[in-house]
Amino acid sequence: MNRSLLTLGIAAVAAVSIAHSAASAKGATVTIAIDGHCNVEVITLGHGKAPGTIREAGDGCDNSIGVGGFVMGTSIQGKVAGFSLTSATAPGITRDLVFANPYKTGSTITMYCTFDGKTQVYKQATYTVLHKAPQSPDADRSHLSSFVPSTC
Amino acid sequence: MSRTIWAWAALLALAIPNCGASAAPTRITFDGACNTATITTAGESVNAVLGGTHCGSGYATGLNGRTVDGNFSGMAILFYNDDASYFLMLSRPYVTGGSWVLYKTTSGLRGTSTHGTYTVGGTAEHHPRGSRSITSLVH
Repeated sequence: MNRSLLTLGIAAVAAVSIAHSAASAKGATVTIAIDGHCNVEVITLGHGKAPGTIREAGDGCDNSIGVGGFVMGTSIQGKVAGFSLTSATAPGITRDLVFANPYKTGSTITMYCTFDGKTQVYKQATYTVLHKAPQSPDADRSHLSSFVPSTC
Repeated sequence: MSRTIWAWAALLALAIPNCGASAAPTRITFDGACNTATITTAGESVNAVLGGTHCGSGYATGLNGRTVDGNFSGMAILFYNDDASYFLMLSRPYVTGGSWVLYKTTSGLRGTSTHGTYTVGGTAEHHPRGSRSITSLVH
């Protein structure tokens, strides 16, 4: 085989491989609005053993970060994916934000909270999968309250 | 009238603590670290108090469930005086030699992790498993 042709082939394979790993490292995202509330969460999906992450910023509602996103089967809620949720606006509350999985509009989102590490309270809503960035929330969402109030 | 009562009852059910039958708390220590966790389960709900001498303390809450790798407790953790966000996966049932994975993010964009095994029973005060907190093991 022509050596230059072989070199070109190897380079092409390498380029495709590098492009694929770069895309995987970046991670796909899902943008979710919590119905009836002003929160818009951006989930970066994990892959393999790598965790997913969640971030809320720029929606004029709250600022939060979290990690998790592992799909678990539960007998009561079915398949879910839970994330920790740490918010500067509600310090001192431990929160697990759990999405019904797969992520699709109309599914349930549940926020579990504890104040003492012994008991759990929770709050539920449904969510909508958006196809736009959270930096431009709907005008009619701006009057809504946060799903993550300081009292959980 | 009755519809109003049912509506209030439904709201109260969401507001009060989870009422599933609670099992006796299980105390674990993290091998190679100074942390302890006192875990309380009630049905699928799981909570924990994290402590340990000279070690990060905080609270955890989450759910018990099944993954492709087995049964786990998946809990969000808030450590005091720590701005990072943590999620802990603990293998179930809780038995010595069980595994844990701690995930961390400081940005909400990228996560890191560390892992190990745990021992049921004992206390960090009397049977310390290590000198470092699990939070210092994940970067």
